[in-house]
Amino acid sequence: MKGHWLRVMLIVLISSLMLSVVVGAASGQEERRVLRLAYTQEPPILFDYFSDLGVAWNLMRIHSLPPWGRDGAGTVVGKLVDVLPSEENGGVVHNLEDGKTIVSFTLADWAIWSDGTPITAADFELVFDVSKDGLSNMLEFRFVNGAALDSVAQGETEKDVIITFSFLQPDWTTATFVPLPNHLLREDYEAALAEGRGMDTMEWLRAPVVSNGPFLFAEWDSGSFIRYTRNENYAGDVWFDDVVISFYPDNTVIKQLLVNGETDWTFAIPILEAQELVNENSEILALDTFFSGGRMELRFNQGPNGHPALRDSRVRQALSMAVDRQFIVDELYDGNTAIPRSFWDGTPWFYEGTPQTAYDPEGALALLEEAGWYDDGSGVIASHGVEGVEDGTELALTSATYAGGGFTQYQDVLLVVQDMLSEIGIDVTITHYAVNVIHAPFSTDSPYATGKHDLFVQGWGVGTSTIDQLELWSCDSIPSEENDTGWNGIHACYPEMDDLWDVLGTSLSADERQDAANQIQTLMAEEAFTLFIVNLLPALTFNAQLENVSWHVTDIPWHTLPEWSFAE
Amino acid sequence: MLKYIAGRIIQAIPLLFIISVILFAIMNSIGDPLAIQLSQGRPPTGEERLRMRRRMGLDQPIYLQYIYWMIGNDWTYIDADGDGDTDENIRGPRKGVLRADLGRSLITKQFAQVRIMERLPNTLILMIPMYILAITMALVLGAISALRQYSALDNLLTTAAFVFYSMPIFFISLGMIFIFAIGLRNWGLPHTPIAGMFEPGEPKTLTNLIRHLILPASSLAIIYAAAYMRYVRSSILEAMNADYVRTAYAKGLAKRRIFAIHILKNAALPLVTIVGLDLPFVLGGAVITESIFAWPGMGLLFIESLTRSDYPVLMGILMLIAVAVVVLQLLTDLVYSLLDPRVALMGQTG
Repeated sequence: MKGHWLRVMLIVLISSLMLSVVVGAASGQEERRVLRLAYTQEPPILFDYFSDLGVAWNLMRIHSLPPWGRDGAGTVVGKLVDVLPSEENGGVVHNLEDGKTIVSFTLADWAIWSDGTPITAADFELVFDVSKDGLSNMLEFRFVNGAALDSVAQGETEKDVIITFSFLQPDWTTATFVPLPNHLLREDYEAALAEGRGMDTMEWLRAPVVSNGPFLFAEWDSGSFIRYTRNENYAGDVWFDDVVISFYPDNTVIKQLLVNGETDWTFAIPILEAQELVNENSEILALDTFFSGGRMELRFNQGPNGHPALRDSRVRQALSMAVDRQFIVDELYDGNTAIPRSFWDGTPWFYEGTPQTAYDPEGALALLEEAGWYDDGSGVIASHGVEGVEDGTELALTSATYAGGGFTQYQDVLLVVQDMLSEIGIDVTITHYAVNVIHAPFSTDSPYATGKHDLFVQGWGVGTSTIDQLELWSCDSIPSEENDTGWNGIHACYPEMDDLWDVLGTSLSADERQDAANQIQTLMAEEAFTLFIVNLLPALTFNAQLENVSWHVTDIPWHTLPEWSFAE
Repeated sequence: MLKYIAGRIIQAIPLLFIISVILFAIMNSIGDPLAIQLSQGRPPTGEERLRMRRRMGLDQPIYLQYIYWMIGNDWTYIDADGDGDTDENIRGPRKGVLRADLGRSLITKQFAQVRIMERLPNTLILMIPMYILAITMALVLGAISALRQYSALDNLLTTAAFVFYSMPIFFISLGMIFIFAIGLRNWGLPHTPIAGMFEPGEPKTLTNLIRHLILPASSLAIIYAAAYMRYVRSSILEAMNADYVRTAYAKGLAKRRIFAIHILKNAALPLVTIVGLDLPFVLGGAVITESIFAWPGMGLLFIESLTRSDYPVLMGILMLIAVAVVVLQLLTDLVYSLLDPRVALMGQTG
């Protein structure tokens, strides 16, 4: 018996020693400066030309740069050019007759690919060819912000590029896109076309071994990580040797990695949770937020499937007045965001005169009563003498927002809104849907496109640097069997606003465009078809030793990445 | 035997066809693959969105999409540029499942079979050691528990099995991370990595792999072992009380011989059935465990594809599991007949 226990103990001891050796095995590699980024999503490819997923868009900007882009302050800066084109230097010419803008620029001599080959007009022409080949399934709206790209040509020398586009907005700064290395890709691309395939099927998009950004693609272990190394031919100093992007689908794990010092940076933790994490670990972690141009909105469905009360702007206004947005900012976000004062708040096109909706529950009840919706003693708010609505119709609403762990702030805000509306006697029921369900086309019976609910809490982005012509609220974009992919699921149709959007897209007069933007902001506030609840501020949670960290959602999110470093 | 196997395979063909029809219908109602792609900047206009749908063939009626998925579309002309008109000079690029083409991922544009084959080995690396560990633990602990029925050790093992079997996998996984990755590290002891399969930038060595394998494999093995242990215990108890065992004792056979030959072999039959039923799903990976430990296997691929409505990849994974179910059921029946000669297969006489 004694021998039996001795054997057992010996086995346990040997197993423990083996385990210690295995788990304690340390790497004997040379010390490199490695920046470790954690994402929840893996990109499908490393170019957003063929994928509109945010992760493809922002990772592309680590290895590839356009001729120019905006810095953190929104100023346009050259990335591959010494001199920016402008109307003054003749680099930008607007042709009013045919609605075209021609942008000409010269690539700097120092603008070279990582293999040392100069970047030339041919590299831009390749992108243009891919966008027009009819096979590459390219997202044309990625180019020049949705305007039609008419031609890309070489000027006098191979370093001179001439881009012509039809303007949806006459802003030359949008005529920028990342070139592709023609000297490497042209042959394979044409071979693919000959086989009836487009560039979107080329493996190179997952392994761009030649690029022009501060870092260069090194390896991609599918489902695990992508590793970049420093581009030795980059025209500037870069502090880190490697950037490793690892993918952890569960952000609980990312939190532990941050606390353990096993990752350095993420924006995968929703702001409410990031605040808590950083407060608990303030010595090792830091938090930063940035204006993404995104708004969280409470959208009122005026369509045939929405509650009839919501077709009256007074009711929508009343519901807006019943939502205490400052409480949401202070209590839910710890003051780490702000109430958007209009669609363009935070951009140069914000109109100071935009009417603001103040929290006023009593005023809301009065306005509801004026519209014919009040409690006559029965305990519920119901219709009384409202045209087209049967008397006694209860004002009880259904609402929807996104499902899933990445959307907790939407779910939390909708819960608060539900509480606030119940305080003025309006019951709201809540349903959550996956993003790919709620934003699906009309023909798939999507809850938003078919207007299944009365209220929608959603997030939409506004360009931080440009005035976009959007189809979120135009009369033509109401989804239907004929218009399967329209965006205007809440049936907010104002012909006068459609005309104003057209002015934004076509007028060359800055004053005229600003005036149109002002009128749009006023009309949106008066008609109250949507309530901007809070600015969506993605949270950067990172190692407190990391210096010079900044990030933003414009052309080059990683605009300061070469300068990121660890404190000594 | 061969006649039996051939019969079962022929029976499986209509079954797989029906499964594929049902799955295809379900996959096409799980959302819009384009909707998930609208996360950055200016959303495409309705017209741009429609063009993207046409290029992907998502505007086609579902029966036509199914036909293309099954037999390909290289025999017909398609709307390659998405302008709403069929391009009379461009044939479809797909060969169809019947010609070993599962289609291209709607998201990465890689062939679905490439996506699957990238991840399948990783899942097998996780699941095979996990299964060996789980079955070993189940057999050893189940046998100990049965041999010492109603002892304190039996009660302890039985209770532990109930507790671990009832516990959600995410709870066990996060608990393991907390103890073996964070706790040990904080105490200055050798610790396991939190997640991943290899350390980025480090050589892909066996040591590196094993370090990363410990937590996910153990988390899964605990739950599987807890479930199987219950079967092993009750089967052994049943076998121990059988007449043939009593006879063996009466004949004076050694206890170990009786246990190994007469008890364990007979008690293994229910376990073979259960493992046979579970094994096909090994190919599907462990969705939650792989997600928590960022293990780049089939489970993670499945959940990624599901959230992105990437139905060619989803269909590939699900059909792979369906085929595995059919094949492994057949294998289970064959193993059953080997373990217990009393079990006759169709066409054989007992």
